[in-house]
Amino acid sequence: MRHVKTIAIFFAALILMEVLYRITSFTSDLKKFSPEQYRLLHISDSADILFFGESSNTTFAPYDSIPYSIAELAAQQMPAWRWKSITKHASHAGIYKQWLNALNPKSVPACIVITVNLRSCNADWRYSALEPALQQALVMGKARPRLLNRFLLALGFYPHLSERLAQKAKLTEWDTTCLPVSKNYPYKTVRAWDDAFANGYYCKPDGSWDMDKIQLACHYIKSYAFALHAENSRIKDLDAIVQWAQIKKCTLVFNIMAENLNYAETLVGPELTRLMRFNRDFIVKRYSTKGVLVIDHLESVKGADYIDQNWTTEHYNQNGRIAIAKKLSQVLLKNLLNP
Amino acid sequence: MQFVPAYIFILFFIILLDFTTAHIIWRSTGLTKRLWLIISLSSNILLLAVFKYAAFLLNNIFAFFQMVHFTNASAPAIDFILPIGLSFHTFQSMSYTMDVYRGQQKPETHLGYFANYVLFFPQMVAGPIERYKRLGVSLKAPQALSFESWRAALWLIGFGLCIKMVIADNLAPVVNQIYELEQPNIIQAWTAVLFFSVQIYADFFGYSTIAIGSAKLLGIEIMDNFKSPYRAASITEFWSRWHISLSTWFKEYVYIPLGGNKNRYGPWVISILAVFALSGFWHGASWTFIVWGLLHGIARITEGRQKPPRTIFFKRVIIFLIVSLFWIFFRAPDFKTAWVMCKACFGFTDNTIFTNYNLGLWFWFFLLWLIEWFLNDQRFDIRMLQVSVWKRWCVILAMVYCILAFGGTQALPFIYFQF
Repeated sequence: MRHVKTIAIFFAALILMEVLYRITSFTSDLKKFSPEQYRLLHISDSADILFFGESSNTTFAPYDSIPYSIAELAAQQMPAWRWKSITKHASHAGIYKQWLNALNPKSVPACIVITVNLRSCNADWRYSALEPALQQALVMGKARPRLLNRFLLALGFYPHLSERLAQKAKLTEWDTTCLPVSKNYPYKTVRAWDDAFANGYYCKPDGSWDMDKIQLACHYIKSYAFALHAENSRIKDLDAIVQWAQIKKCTLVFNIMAENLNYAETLVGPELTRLMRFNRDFIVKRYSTKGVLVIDHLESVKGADYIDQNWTTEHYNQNGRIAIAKKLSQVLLKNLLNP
Repeated sequence: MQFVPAYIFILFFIILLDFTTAHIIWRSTGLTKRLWLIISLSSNILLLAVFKYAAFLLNNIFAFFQMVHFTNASAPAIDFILPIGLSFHTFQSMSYTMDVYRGQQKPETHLGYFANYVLFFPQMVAGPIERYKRLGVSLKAPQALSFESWRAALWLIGFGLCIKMVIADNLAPVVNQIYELEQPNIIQAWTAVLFFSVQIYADFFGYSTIAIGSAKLLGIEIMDNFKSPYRAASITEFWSRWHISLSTWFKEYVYIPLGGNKNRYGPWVISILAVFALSGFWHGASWTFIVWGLLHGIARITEGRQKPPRTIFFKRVIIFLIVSLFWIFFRAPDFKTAWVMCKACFGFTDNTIFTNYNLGLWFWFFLLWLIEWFLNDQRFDIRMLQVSVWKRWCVILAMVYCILAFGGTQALPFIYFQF
């Protein structure tokens, strides 16, 4: 009986600790470790349209004269609507799914715009070394006792693979997944394709390998040579987002970001751009039928309007951002009822 | 340092080797006995040399050859992964063979008990380095588990977790950040030096306390590894309070065989320097560790062979500052960093920009001293039995709250896991 009493006192003390933590430290910890979720708790009351994005939203070229993000540019086109945006570098559908759960359930915005970045579905991004940090930033907002969340954060208790395992999973996928390329195309896996280009595909006039071109081509292959399917974890996350929106009865927009198809075609060839278009079509078809407004920007930005000319990113200069924001706002104005 | 499953065979090899040679040593006499001891010890040391010191030794040999223009070739690349806890379990196993050689320990007849002694999981990775005469006996004795011993075990585990997660892991990021600076200023340098002193103590003391608690859960007592080392009023006293299992190991198996205190002054100085240099080298295959050991050795020599005078507060502070400065060579990845940090500590730095580190972090620094004051030179579980029930509950709840609410958020392994 004495031990039962001791255990009961201990549990009562734990409940008091939870209360104490909520009063004293929770808000500052949430702000420190999960700043996006902290913002989400407070902004959903004051937003009609909530925009979730990654670096494509807020990256500017040094020569830009218009220092506005895609969300800000779109908001300027729709002055009657209150826009709020949350941006975090390297985030993806899996992160946005968790952010939605952090919204105040009593005041869900009328419309949620989700940035869909095709590259975020590839093996390189899914097994990225940045993933643990992204997952860590979600722990404090989970629907569990706050003190438990703080403890699990300290223990590193969030889904993540070790660097070694992530690397292994990525390489296995590149080695073994057959790509739906044309029958006669010789490279059926990312590994074979990458190897072929890495071994002197481009040469300089003097006969030496053109390493800059080779590296960029290989990077394009690793970034875009994949075919989406229902089992891809990002697609599952997008499915979960759709389900959430259906329950909350809010308008959901998937904003497919532009990719540099010109460079992909020039450097690697039409097989790669065919895969990129296949992936875009997969998303458009899958989600248009589920009531999602899918806005396709895949080919909306010219090659010269990409800030990073020597790498694959979705960072656009002001022309690119304006083009995307314009199309986004036009579709929204056409489809949304007045606020 | 990494767990590689195949490396379990290294442990099996150590177990079989020392189990067998101990029996042969016990039955042999004279030169044969000595020969078998040498075989056992050199095999253990060879394992350490291959996995831990090979790259260091080769690099230095080749550097020397290059210096005397013997060769221009550079050392072959060696990338053995150091098996986790190798330095600890080889030393533990060697102590058994040496005890058998000295006739202080009968050889174990049951391979299982001996294997359990080497592999005993709570202390296998980072000590304390046990002796067979203690742990072996404890492993064989019938274990009477009681509520009291379980409670004490949980207190110890909780306390160990608390100081590791709350003190060590909150101070570590600041220390790491400052040690990465090219030119720290005097405030930054002292912050890093003082924080690291507390970090390494909280980290290793935390681990040892968790190990003692985990063993106690199984009804097994293992030795204490720390006894408030920063209360020491001399370097001699510091080493009788810090990493006790290692310092007594070196004392019993290296210092005393070299003559110990009975030596004349010259050989005594050499034996002290040798022991401390070896102790430094045991920690890591780097000259910085050797210098760290030698600094302690020199400080120890300056104290002479007399017992230190009665403790006074001022002297404790001085010793804490000296030990903290010595830690620079332990923490710095190379001499360049160590030198920059030493210079910065004495104001020889061009950086005069004041960086405002979160002053709240000093709370964790001072919390350790508060804990030391509470412990009053006793082990946590014993101290807890001496205080009133109300105080005990306050301590437990404060400890639990600290673990839950203030644990460091970077994944930082125990520092001594790398050895």
